[in-house]
Amino acid sequence: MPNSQNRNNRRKREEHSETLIIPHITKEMLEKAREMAAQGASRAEIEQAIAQMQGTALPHTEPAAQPKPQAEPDAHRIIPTSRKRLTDEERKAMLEQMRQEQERREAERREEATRRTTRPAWHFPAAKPAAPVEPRPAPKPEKTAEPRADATIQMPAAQPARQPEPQEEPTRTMEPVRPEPEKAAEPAAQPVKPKAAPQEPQPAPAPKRHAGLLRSRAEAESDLNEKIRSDHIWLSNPVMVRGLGLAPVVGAALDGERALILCVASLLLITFTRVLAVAVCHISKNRFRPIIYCYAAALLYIPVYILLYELFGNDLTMLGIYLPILIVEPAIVKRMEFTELEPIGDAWRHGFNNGLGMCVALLIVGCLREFLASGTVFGHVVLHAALLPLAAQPAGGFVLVGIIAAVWCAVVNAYTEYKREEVRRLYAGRKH
Amino acid sequence: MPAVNIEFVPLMRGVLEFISYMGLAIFAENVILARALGVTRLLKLVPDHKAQVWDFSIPFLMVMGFSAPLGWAVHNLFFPWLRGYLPEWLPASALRPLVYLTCGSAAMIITWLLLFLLPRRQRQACQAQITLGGCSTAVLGTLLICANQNYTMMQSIAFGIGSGLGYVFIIFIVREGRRRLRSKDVPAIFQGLPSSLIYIGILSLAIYGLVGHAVVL
Repeated sequence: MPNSQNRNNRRKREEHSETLIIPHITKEMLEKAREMAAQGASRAEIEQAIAQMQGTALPHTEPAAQPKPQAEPDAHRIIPTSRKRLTDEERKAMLEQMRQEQERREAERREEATRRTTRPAWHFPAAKPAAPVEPRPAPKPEKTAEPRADATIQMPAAQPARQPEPQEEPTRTMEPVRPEPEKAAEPAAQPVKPKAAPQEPQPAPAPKRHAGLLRSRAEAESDLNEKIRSDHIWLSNPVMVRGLGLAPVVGAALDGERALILCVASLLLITFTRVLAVAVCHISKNRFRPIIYCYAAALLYIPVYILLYELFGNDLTMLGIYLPILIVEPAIVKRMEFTELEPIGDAWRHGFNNGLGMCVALLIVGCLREFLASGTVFGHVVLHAALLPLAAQPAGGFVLVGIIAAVWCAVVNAYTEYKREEVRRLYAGRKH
Repeated sequence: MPAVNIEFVPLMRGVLEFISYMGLAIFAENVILARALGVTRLLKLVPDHKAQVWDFSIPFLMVMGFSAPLGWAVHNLFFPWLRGYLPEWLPASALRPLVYLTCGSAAMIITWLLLFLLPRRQRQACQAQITLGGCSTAVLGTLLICANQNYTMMQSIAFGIGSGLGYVFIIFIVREGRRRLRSKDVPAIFQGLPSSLIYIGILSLAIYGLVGHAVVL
């Protein structure tokens, strides 16, 4: 008769020989085992106690409790050993501690990434000075006396392999960064542990490491992509790269003066429309976005028009319909197509950067068209010949903007490819 | 026996005028080729599937058609009345975008209601595109052009419908051009947006050669 035993179960038993198999277990035995486990008893003690309750010895469980020494121990095999059982409270506390540790590392990593970003100074709000970094009240006794201990962030004792890599240059070392109060409050509203508590037994004492240097390649590439995406002036220009705001650029930026008027109008409208629309969307729970964006721009157009009229007077009439249609220009209201609601601070920053990007494109196209069409720049004669009179027409505008966009995108692609290659080379020796 | 007195000549003249204004808006004063209105939406729309072009075009045409008489009424009835109440520091030109945007919004509401006549699947697809079609520079620009040119109501309607048809016409032309511009003979740096812009520029040059003068902004 063939063996009717389930092959899967047999295989499982072979692979997990340490599995505790107790026949005829009763409720009392289970309670006893739980009680002993709660008291921290080892597996062997539990099995022995249960065997005593059963009155018979369990010959096949003994090897699992006390594994026999093998003649040739396999280095790759993990031999289970008995360890102290943790109670639920201890387990929860450990999980909570690990979670806090992870969040703190993430905050440090973000702060480090922000600090190391090589953006122009006007790209972000002015960074806070380094003075607020307070000196540590007292060095922790567990801190190892490594030669470059201040260059790293403390690591948990259980992970000794995460040492700073040898290719780190010492100029990149920095003071161990504690999250600043406002940044520490950002990731979660959980209470931050007090710093100086050496007497409190902490299994994972405040790890310190250089977060930026231990990032994985994927993180570095995603950071680079984010940096490229958020650079609305050059790398992700709204006009030349993303193709937004083409109507005023092609139709109205015929010379430098018109381009300048459109610059001021675009900068004001893009920035304040985004802020106002995001604020209203926060109130309306992100509903009716198209209407909100368009009407926010239309309402803001009133003070902007009055301001422009004070600045430029009747020159505004040169723009014709291209000044009023800015309120539905995709460079201003494109954000309405995105469902995610950004904070107002981000809206201000992104709106201003988008406005600057559009200003750059408008001025370049306007001055170039004026120069090609009449040989002047902002009315000043540069060349006594008209190189390309067609540049003053929409057809010439399309062709010119297309050529500028091609050159712009080629330069941007070359630069971003260079940066990506740099990241690839920097992280070439890493496995993650 | 009652007799209907129909003046045939004025009627035909009106029809011809309507068609001529539509033709003017479709070809000579095309919103894209002559004024570069709605180019961004066009370039985003062209790579999409063909069905989505009509999902966009149907509500767009309806919004263009319904907003034209509203724009005429605003220009000829509302603004003359409003000028008497505006303070000196507030010019009526500052309110034009707000008022004409309201006309477009009203046209969008009418369009949204009329779309219930369509089958369910097509209605949902069109209603999803209605805000993109309504909040467009082509719609607002056409209303402003009609106001600046002092068109009559029939001329405004003809120009509005013609502008919409011209926009859809250019969508299909640019779509075909974009398909051919995917050739490997096109240099890599010109692939995508630059080649499309240059292609539209050449089409615009053809219109410019046909008309022989620049349109009024």
